[in-house]
Amino acid sequence: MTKHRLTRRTFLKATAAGATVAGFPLPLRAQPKTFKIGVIHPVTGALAEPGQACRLGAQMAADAINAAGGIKSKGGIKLELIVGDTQTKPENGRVEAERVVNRGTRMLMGSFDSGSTNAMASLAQQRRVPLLIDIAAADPITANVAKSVKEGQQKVQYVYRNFPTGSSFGRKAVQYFNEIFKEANASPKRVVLMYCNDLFGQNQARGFQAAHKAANPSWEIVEAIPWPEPPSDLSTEISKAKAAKPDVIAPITRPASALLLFPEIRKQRIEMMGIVGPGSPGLYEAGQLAALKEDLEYVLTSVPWANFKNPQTNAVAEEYRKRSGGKTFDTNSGYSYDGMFVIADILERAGSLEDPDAIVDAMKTTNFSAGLMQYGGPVVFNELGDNPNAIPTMIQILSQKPVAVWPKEAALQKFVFPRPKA
Amino acid sequence: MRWAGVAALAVLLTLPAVLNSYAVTIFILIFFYGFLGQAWNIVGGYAGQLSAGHAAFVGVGGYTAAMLSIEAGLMPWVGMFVGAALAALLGAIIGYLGFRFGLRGFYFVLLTVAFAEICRIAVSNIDALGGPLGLYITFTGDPRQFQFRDGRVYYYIALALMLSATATAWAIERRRFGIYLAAIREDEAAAEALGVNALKYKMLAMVVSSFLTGLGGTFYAFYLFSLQPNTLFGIPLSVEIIIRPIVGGAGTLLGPILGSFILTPLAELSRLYLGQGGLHGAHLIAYGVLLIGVVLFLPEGAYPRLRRVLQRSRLAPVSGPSHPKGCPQERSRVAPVSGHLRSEPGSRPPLQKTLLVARGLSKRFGGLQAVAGLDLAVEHGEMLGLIGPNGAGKTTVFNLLSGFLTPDAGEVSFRDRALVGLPPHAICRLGLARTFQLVRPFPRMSVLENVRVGALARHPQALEARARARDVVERVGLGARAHVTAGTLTLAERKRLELGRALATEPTLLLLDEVMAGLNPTEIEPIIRLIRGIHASGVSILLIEHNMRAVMALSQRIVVLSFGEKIAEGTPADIANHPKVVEAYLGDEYVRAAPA
Amino acid sequence: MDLTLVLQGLLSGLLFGGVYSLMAVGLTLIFGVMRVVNFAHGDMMVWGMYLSYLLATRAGIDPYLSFVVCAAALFALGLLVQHGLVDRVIDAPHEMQILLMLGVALVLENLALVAFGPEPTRVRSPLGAATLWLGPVFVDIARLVTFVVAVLLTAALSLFLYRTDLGRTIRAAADNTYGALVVGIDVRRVYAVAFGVGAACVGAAGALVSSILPFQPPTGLSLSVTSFNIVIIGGMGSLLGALIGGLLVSVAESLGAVFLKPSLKELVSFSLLIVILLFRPAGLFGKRTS
Repeated sequence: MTKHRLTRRTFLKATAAGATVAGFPLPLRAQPKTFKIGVIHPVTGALAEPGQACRLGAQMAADAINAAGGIKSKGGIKLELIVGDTQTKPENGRVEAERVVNRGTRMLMGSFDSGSTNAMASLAQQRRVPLLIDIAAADPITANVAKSVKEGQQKVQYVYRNFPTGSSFGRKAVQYFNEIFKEANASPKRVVLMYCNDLFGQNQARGFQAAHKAANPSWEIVEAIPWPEPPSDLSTEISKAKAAKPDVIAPITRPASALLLFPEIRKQRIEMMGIVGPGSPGLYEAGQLAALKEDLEYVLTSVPWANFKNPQTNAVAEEYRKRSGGKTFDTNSGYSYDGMFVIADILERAGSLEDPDAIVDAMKTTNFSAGLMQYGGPVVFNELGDNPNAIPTMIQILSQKPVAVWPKEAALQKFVFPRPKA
Repeated sequence: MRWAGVAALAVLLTLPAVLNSYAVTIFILIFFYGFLGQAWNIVGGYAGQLSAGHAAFVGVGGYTAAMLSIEAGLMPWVGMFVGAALAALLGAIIGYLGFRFGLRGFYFVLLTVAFAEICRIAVSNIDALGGPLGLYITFTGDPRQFQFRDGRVYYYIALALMLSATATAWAIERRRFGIYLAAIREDEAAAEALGVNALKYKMLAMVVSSFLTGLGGTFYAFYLFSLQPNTLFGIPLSVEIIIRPIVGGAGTLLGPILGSFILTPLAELSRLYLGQGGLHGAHLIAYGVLLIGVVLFLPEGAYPRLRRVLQRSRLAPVSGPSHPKGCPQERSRVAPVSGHLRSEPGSRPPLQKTLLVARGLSKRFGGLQAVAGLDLAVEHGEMLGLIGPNGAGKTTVFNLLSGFLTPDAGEVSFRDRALVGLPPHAICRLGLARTFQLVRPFPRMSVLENVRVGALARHPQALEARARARDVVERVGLGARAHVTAGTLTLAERKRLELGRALATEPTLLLLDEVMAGLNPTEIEPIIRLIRGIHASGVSILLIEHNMRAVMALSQRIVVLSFGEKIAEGTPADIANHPKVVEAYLGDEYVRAAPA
Repeated sequence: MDLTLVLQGLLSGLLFGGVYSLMAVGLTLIFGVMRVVNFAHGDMMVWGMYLSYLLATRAGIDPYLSFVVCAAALFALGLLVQHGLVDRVIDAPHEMQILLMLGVALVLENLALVAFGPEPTRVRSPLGAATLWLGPVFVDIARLVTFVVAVLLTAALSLFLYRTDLGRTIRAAADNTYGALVVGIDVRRVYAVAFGVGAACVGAAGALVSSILPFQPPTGLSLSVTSFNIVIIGGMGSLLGALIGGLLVSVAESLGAVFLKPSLKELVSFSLLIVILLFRPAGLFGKRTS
């Protein structure tokens, strides 16, 4: 009997604890002078590095917008960022979105990792809070929502993305490969695709292979070699690539695997024209360059890149370098920075800041061309909610510096391909 | 006091009406992890088999339901049971391998981790399952598709999941199943000796646990709308599943829930208050420190501590036994069955043949021939003494007879059944019970609970077994100590308990291994009387004993073992005067003392 | 199948096995003596790696020298963890020990995140890209050195355990805690030393492989899992088992990468683990416990 009684006591205690929990997220809606935006990224956990870059990029953009007078058409209302951390766990994409929405945010931005982003997207639809995906490449996130709106299961699409999708990354990479080979007057035949078998790597590799199949170019993907990410050793994988007698090795790496892959390629003395990758985020970071040095020289990779022909970009990049402790203004910081400006543009044009559907109407008609990233045109959203003009740029490490080399209009320098013989 | 539980439930049911959606979300997580923790608790807590790969069951359940929904249009409400069934199948496979091959403790931990990792790697490489990119579920808000526009629906589903897992755990806990699991956790060999089929019950626990966990997979998938192998099969999720019940108190009914009510909000709070500044990671440091603190200051978990604190405050004014005077069930059930035990000592077959016959029994350990070609017979109703110098192989004989060891050669028949190859629990159920030389009580159970484990062999109803156990406890003279934790008993009491536990299985033949060793003469006398009484009630007894006076006094016949061989057999008088025995074992001193 | 590739895979795997062996030695030592499973193993190793990284980038000290400093630092950490924490739960149920070490792991990982940031890094090997070509196959010099160091370290530890008084005391305490108490050994002190020595091995290993393995704060988990695999396969508590187990797992994964899709290579080591668990749970070189 005692036990039973105690059982209930515990229950009561537990409930009391729960009530305290219920109490803590006090809604702070009493300040009308700001427009709150929930900005959620993985700032701890496995993806902490890009997540922190995103958060800083978004914060800098908001600071810049506020310094310039806020949202002018709405009485100069300032942007206030309510930040959240997914810890690289999808469930926190939802929890954090729920939290910031309860703190009065009327728009969401995030969240780098596709799992968390999809959880946020479902919440955005459910709670009718417009979401701008600053980074996350998995195609289904927007496509699924668009489909359910089209099929009438939902009325309005609240989820839009200003970032290349996996398939558009692939299409662009294949296109750049073709153009560069042609421009260089080289005709590699055998390409070995090597990729990290994680969400990012597989998404990129799939897009690349599908685009290759569709384009049917003169070169062939003779072998595709995925490795578990993060790897502890890649020497056998490289030996396998070597055995396939490649003209070009096309790697898709994460920073951790890049640290293994590139030295190993050099070590194994593979005779080929060069390394041209469909995507290696972070390769251009000072830390990677310092750790890899000559192993990176002449490596070409296709990544979303800032438009450094724009003087404003250089100024922001310089400020970013200072505030981040020496980091490059890159894909992550750059797209989060632009994302915030796209949001500001939407808010300027929105009929009302109170009505989510009014914000969505403004989103749909976005035509924004003041972004700092390299785009293929203004930021617009297609029927899926994606920006078809969000494209990657081919960069190359030349004299230990990352330089945009393709497409031509973005190039700051001419690429070197095939690479000179050592 | 039932109202307290009802009140708690009422509060939980009405909370969503007053909470904002973020608080609702936190409760959803509390319930969901409470649910997963409770599911884990069945095998990890009650049965004490530490699985650190429970994420695999979440993954299998979630992927199955999601694939069935995406590819075949099957409603997740149905798919979740298909997924849970597959998770249970995986649990059965892992459990069978682990338990059959006797993997305990850390080895079982690693086996489960390895299986979960294999699942993760496999799914990461299967394109049809989306590979590492995973599966994406479209939000439609269609309730048939397990989707809701109102977050509070998820709240009630998660609450229902947690309550159903808790109800399952409760039902298990108070039945033979749960009592057996606790016995297995405390001491598997001792449980086997009391007729517990440890493999079967551990398997059952694993299957129930993995089934429930598999249900959780569907909730996870359809609440978060995407599935990736790294999150659904990964080690971090497995860790999330186990820390809450451990913090709350593994193997207790409310531990997993309490653990979730403590840790889930704390994780949120620390992220909220420490995760915003520039020090990324500070909140996880705080969380880690908290876990360390729990281990250092609440080493059995939060719930047992809480229970003790409440108990103290409740019972302080009442000077009396530290345990309740008895549940109503007990009082009502004791009367009709008491007295039953003595009148019917086991289900005795008609006296025709020898009760137990062992022929040519041999066992070798490396270079040591422990038992060599031993022939042994115990007649119905007999009290046979088995003596011999240290290392003569007496306990090995017991282990061979009771199934703990398999003989290299020879056969054993008991009531005309061949015993060789049967597991200990089956032999116990045939009516052959044993005690252990080094007593093996279930230390964290009370005396009564210990004996009840034995009684359950004949009386599968927990209440009836409890009543039987009460009789036995009285009979072995521990009535006043019935509610004391076995770990705190004196040696003499433990010996009685050991005897009582074996007796509670209502054996035809009782194997007593040195029940008097280590006791002083005043303690030995009552034990001798007790053994006589048991024998008089019709139980045949085979006893190993070093106390010569006792053996001589008790035994009708004695077998002498030396270096694994039988060197003499006969009445106590014969043995006392047998020259070989005198020479090999008893020595001059005894011969001189014997006539006295 | 390309024979050169198989040969190269075998050779690379074997040499890389030195890295795995180094990872496992400290773990097996701690388990062998105290029966405590150090779930913070990988995170302690990551700290060894970061220390050698600091010494290499700030003071220009080569990891092949700085490993001594890292070992000393981790020895101190080990003593601290043992004395302040593990010692108090040595008799607690398994699950509580696991929870404790998970807590320690979480703290160490995130302290590293606060101290060093999230980027993956790697110490530039003083041996650079040095290779020795034997016809079509090559030997990676940095790995060869690590391999030799692993063998030497295992030998040195064996000498310590079998030829010194302290080592014998540690082994006595490991074999029979009660017996050791009876003959007057201060078991708690012995445990502290053993944990310290184990942690020092982890620190040294971290430094020595910091130029081969990339690392970042969350790397600890995968290091722990791999080390557990090796130690179980080789035999809990066996130094020789850690050495041979490391080589075996590495060769198995390398050949797995040759013959399968490389992203499946870890399947090979986990399958090996399961087979060993089922048919030889004490490991290849472990003592069978009854």
